[in-house]
Amino acid sequence: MDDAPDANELEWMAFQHMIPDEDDDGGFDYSELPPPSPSEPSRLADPSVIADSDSSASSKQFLLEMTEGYTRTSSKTDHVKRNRDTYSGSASSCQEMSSKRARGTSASCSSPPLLDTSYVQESLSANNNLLRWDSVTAPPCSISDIPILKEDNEFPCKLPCKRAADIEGECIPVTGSSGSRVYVKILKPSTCRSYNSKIFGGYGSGLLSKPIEKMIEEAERESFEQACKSYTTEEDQNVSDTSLRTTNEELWVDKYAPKSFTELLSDEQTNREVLSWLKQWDSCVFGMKITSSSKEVLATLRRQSHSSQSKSFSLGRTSLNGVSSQGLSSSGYAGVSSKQTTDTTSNGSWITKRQIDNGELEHKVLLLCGPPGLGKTTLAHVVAKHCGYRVVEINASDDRVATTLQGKILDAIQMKSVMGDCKPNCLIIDEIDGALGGAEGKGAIASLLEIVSAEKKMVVQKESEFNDEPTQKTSKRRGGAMVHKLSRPVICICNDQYVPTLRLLRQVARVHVFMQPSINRVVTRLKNICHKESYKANPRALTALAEHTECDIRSCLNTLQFLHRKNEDLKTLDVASQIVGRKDMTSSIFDIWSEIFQKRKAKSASVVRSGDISERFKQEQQEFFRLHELFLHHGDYELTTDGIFENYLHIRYHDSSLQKTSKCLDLICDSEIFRRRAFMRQHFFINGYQPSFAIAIRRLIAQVDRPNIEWPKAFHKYSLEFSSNKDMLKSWLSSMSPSTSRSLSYACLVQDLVPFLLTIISPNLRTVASQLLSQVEREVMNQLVDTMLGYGISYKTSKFGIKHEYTAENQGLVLEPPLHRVIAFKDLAPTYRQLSSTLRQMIGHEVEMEKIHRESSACIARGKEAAPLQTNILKEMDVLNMECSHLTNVHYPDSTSVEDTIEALADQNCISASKGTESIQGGEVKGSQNSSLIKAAKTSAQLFANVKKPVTTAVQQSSSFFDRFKKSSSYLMTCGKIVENKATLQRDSRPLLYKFNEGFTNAIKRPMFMRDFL
Amino acid sequence: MLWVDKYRPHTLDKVMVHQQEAQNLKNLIAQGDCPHLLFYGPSGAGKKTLIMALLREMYGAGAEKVKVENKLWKVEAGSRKIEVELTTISSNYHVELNPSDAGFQDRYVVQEIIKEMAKSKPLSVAGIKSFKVLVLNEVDKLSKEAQHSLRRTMEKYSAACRLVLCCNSASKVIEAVRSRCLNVRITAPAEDEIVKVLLHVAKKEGLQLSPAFAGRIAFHSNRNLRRAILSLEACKVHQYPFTDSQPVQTTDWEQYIVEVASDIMNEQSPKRLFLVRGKLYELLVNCIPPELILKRLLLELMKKLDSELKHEVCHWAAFYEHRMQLGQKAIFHLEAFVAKFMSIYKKFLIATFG
Repeated sequence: MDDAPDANELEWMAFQHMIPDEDDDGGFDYSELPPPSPSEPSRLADPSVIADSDSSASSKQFLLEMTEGYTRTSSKTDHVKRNRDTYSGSASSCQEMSSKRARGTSASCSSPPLLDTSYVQESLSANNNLLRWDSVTAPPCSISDIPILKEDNEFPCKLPCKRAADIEGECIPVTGSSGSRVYVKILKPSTCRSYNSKIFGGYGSGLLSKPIEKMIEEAERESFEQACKSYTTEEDQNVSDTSLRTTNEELWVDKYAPKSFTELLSDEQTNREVLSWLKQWDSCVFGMKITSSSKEVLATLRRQSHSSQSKSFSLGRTSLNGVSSQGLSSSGYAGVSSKQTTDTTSNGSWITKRQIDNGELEHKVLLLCGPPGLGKTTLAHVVAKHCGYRVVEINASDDRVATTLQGKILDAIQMKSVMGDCKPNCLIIDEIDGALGGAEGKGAIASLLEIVSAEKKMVVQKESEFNDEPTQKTSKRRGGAMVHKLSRPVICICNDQYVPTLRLLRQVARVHVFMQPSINRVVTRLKNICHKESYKANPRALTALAEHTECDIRSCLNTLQFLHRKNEDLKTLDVASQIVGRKDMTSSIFDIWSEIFQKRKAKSASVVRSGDISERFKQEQQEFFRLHELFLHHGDYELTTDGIFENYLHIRYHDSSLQKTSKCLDLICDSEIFRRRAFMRQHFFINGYQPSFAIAIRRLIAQVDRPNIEWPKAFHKYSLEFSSNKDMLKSWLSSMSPSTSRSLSYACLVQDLVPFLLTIISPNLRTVASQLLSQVEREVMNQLVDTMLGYGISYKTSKFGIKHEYTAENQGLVLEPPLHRVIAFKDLAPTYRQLSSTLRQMIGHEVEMEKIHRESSACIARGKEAAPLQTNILKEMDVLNMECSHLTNVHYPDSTSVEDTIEALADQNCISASKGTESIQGGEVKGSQNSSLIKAAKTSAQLFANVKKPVTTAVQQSSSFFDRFKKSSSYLMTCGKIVENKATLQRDSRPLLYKFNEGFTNAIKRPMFMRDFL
Repeated sequence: MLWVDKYRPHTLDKVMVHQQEAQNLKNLIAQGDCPHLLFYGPSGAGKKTLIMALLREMYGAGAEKVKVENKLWKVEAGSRKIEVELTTISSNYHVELNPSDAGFQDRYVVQEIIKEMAKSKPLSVAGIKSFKVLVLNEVDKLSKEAQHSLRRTMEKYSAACRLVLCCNSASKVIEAVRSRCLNVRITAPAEDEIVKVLLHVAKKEGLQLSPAFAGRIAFHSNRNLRRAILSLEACKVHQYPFTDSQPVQTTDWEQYIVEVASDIMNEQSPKRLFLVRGKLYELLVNCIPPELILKRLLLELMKKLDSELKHEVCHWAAFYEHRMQLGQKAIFHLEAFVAKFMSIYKKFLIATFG
C-alpha cells in the first residue's frame, strides 16, 4: 500500500504501456483504425461482462480505462469479445479468425509492409463483423434491426439469425465452433453499399475520428489507385498518407494536425491536466461514479491491492461501466465509498468524494491561454474527442452578442444531436478574448458566467437541503438528481488572459497557461513532416525557423509548405533574412520595456568571434529593424518614455562618470520634446522617429540580467498632487479681499508669501482667555486676526485629522486653506512656530467673531446708505420679527381675555396699521398663519372678526402710515420674508400676554442685533 | 494687515524706490494722455505698486475701490463657441486680469475683453480720462498667438482703452507688442534701498531696528522688496527686540534646494540621482516653478564649485532650461541637468584627485 506508485506515475506507466508502438510504426494513427464503437452501449448492457471479469482482468481494464479514447475501446472490445466467446461460444470460425486478425492489427499495430486491397477489405469486414456481433448479443436490440454485413467478392457476408424463416431472400447457414447454428442473409453488392452507409451513418460514427463509410471509401479509393498504378510498391501504408497524395492542395497544418492525444505537441503537463479536468466531467456526463482523477485511480488501485476488497472493487467498476448499480449497492459498495472518502481526504485531494458524487466540479470552465500557434484549439478538440464528446465550437467568426451566445451555450449544454450521434456535447468557445471585446463582449461573458454561477447557487442550495438527510443514503442518487446544472464541459480559449473582459471569468474558471513547446519537439515534428512530404530541410534550418516563429508550429508549417510549393530549399539564411514573414505582433508595454532594458543572450556571438564585420553589421541592422518595428507597432511613446525614465536608474550598467546616464536622459528629453512638438503643431509624422530614441537608449544601458520593471507611477502621483496644490492656491487667491490679491500673483504666493505668512500668523502668545490678554498682546492678537481675515485664512476642523503629520498633534484644527501643505518638505522641519491647539482654537474663535463683526458693520453701513425711512422700517420689522419668534412660547390665555386686551389697546396706532394690512391681504395672512401656528391662527381669526368693525375708521386715518408699510413691503420683498413678516406684524401688534411659565425665562425681551453681542 | 500691504505707497509721490520712474510717470499723466505701458522687472521690485499708484494718479481714489468678478466669457471662434471663465479685478475705471489663466484659449479672452471695453467708452468729463485702463498681468506667459492678436487690437481700440502690461521678462513678449508700448523697466531695488524701506517701516511701527540687521534681511531677500518686508515681520514675530545675530528666516523651498545641492555635491551615482529625483518631485509638487528650481540649484551648486567648471555648468544649465521650455515634463530636464552636472563634476574629481 505504501509503496504504491504515485498517481501521475501510474498514469505515465499506463501511457508507456499502451503507446510503445507509436515510435515503431512511424506515426501510425490509432484513430485511423476503425474502432468498433457501437459495441460500447451493448457491452455496457451486457451482464455477462460483469459475471466474467475477474479481479486481474478488471485491474487491467482499469489501466486501459486510464489511457482513454480509442485505445481503451479497442482493447476493451478485445476483452469483451473474449468474454463473449467463452460465454456464448457462438462465433463462427471465420469470424473468429477475422476478429483475431482485427485484433492483431488494432492491438499490436504491426501492419505488414505490403497491404493489398483484399487485406484491407478483409480487416474492415472483420471489424464489421465484430460490430455486428456485439449488437447481436445485446439483448435490447431486435435482430431485424441489425442486418449488416458486407458482401464482397471473396467473402460472402452474413446476416445471422436464429431461424431461416426470419430472413428474406437468400440465406446461408453458419455453424459456430461450439455447434450453434445461425442463418445469414446474402446481400447484393450494390444494395450493400447504400445499406451500409445508411446504417453506419445512423448508427453513429461513434468514437471513430472518421465515419466508417468514409474509411471504406478511402480504402476503396486506395485500391483503385493501386490498380491504376499497377501495384507499384508503396512505402507508406498509412491511410492518411494515401489520401494526402490525392488532396495535394490541403494545408499541411490541417493535414498533420494531431488527431490523437499522444500526437499532441504541446507541453505534456498541460495536456494531462486538461485531460484530467475533462475526465472529471465523466461522473455527471456519463453517469460514472468514479472519475479518473489521478488520485482517485490511485486510491482505487490501492484498494485493489487488498484482496479482501476485490469484490467490492468489482462492484465499483460496475458502476463505472454505467450499469445501474442500484440493485448492487449493497453494504459492500457503501464500504467502498466510505473507504474512498477517507483515502482521498488523507491524500489531501482537492476533489472531495462529495463533489464527485454530485458531479460538481470546483471549476466548471476551463480557460486555456497562450500565444497563437501553440495548439490550444487542437488540444481542446483532441481531448474532447478523446473523452468521447461531440465538439461544439463557437469562435470569433460566429455572432457573439450576449443573447446569441447564451442561446448557443444553452443549446450546447442541454440539447443532443438528433442525427444519431448520441455523444454528449463539449462546448469550445474559441478566441474568447479578441472578438468579445467592448461592451458587447462583456455582456457575452456575463451571460456565460450567469449560466455557470446559477448552477453553482442551485448546487449550494441543494447541498444545504441535502445535508439534512442522512448522508450515506443519498450520496449515490445525487448524480442523477442534478438535472439543471451546467452538465457539459465548457472550454474557453484565449490569447491574452489579462484582457479586462475576462477578469470575472478568470476567477471562476480553471486557467491553464500554455508554454512554448520545446524547440526539439517542434523540430522533430517538422522533420517528420518534411520527411513525409519528401521535402529536404536540414535540421539547423528547421531549428532556426522554430526559433524565429517562437515555436508557432502553425506558421512553421505554413512557411515550409510555401517554400515547398516554390520548390525552394529551406536554408538558414532564408529564415534569418526577411524572406520568411515575421508575425506582426503587438507586444505589451512591459515587453517593450524589458526589450529596452534587457539584452538578448548574444546569439551572434559566433559571428562576432568570426570577426566578419559585414556579417556583424548585418546582424545589428536586423536587430535594429526588429526593434524599430516592435516599438513602432506599440505606439504609446509617452508611456514608453515614462517607463524608461522610471526604471532606468535601477539598471545596473557600468557607468563610472555618469556619462551614459546623462546621455540617456538627454535622449529621454529629446523624445519628450519631439512628442510635445508633434502634439502642439499637429505634426504627428514626427512620431515616426520616436523608436530610434528607445533603441539608442537600449544600446546605452541594456543588460543581460532580467530587469525588474515597475509601472511608472511617480509622475502621475506628482501631477495629481501638483494640480491639487495649484487649485488650492488659486482658489485661495481668489478668496482674498481684492485689495490684497491685486498686488499678488499666483507665482509669488508660494515663493515669497506663504513661508513668511505662516510664521507671522503663529505669534508667541500666552494661552489665556482673550479677556485676560495684556494691552500689547491684545494688539498682537488684533493684528493677527486682521491679517488672517485680509488673507482669508482661518482655522477649521480637519476632516482628516491624522493625515498630515504636522497637524496630527493639533487635534484636527488646521489652516483653511491648507497652506502648510505647500511648504511641507520631506525631511525638512517647518520653520514656523507650531501653535498649541488651544491657541489655535482661540485665534480661530477671534477670527470668526471679527468676521461677523465686520459683516454686520458692513450691513449697517449699507443700511445707512439706504433711505432713512427704509432703515426705520427695517428696524421696526426687526423688532416685530423678534417678538414673533417669542410668540410661539406665549400662550393666549383664552379668547375672552384676548378680546379684552384688544379693546383696551384698540386705539393704538400700530394696531390700526396692522389691521389695515390685514384687511388688505387677509387671505394671504390666513394661509401663512395656518402653516405657522394653528392655535394662534384660530384665535386670531376670531379676533379678526371681533375687532374688525371698531378699527375701520382707524385704518382710514392711518392711511399715510399704511403707505409706509407698503413701501417697506416692497423693500422686504427682496428678503423673501414678506409673508411671514406681515403675519407676525399683524399678530404681534395685538396685545401680547407674557405668561410666566416655570422653567421659562421671564426676562424682558427686546430686539438685539448680533453686533451688540460682539 | 501685513506690513507689506500696510506700508505700500498709494501715490506716485510717496514711493521710496524707483522715484525717478514714478516722477516720469507722473509727468506723463500730467500731459493729459498716456501711451500703452509695459512694466517689466523681477518679482518684488514694485511693478504692481507702481501700476496701482499710477491708476490712482489718473483717476483719483475711485480707482482703489475694486471688486472681484468671476466672469464667464463666451467667445465665438469661427464655428465653435468657447467658454472661458476668468477672474477679474475691476474698478469703475479699470480692469485687471491675468489672461494666462485661460490657458491655450487666452487669445480669445484678450480680444474679447478689449472689444467689450471699447464698447463702453466712458464719457469725457473734466478731470477724468476718456479711456479705461486694462491691466494685463503675466503677459510673458501669454501664448504667442495671444500676443499676436494683441498687437492689432492694441492699435485699433487705443482710443477707448489703454493697456498696461506687466511681466517679469520682456524677452518673452514679442517685439511687435513691445514696440507699441512705452517700456518701463522696474529693476530690483538695491540693498541699501531695501534697508531704507525697512527702517522706514520699523520707524512707523515703532520698532528698534539696527541698520546691520536690516542689512542682513535685505541681503537674504535677494533684492526682493516684498520678501524683505515679510521677512522683517516674520523676524519680529519670531523674536523681538531684534538682536543682530538673530537668524533671518528664509523660505523653506530655498532651504530644500540647498539640501538638494549638497546631496549632489556629496555623491554622484545613479542611486543618488534617484534620491534627488524624489526631492525635485517634492519641490515641483509644492508649486515651485521648475525654472526657479533650476536657477536656485545652479546658484547653490556654484557656491561650492571649482571656478574652472563654473562656465561649463552655467552653459549646461542654460541649455537645459531652454529645453525645458520646449518640453513639457520639467522633471526630465531637471534630472538631465543634475545628471550632466554629476557627470562633469565626477570627471573633474577623477581628473583632479585620481
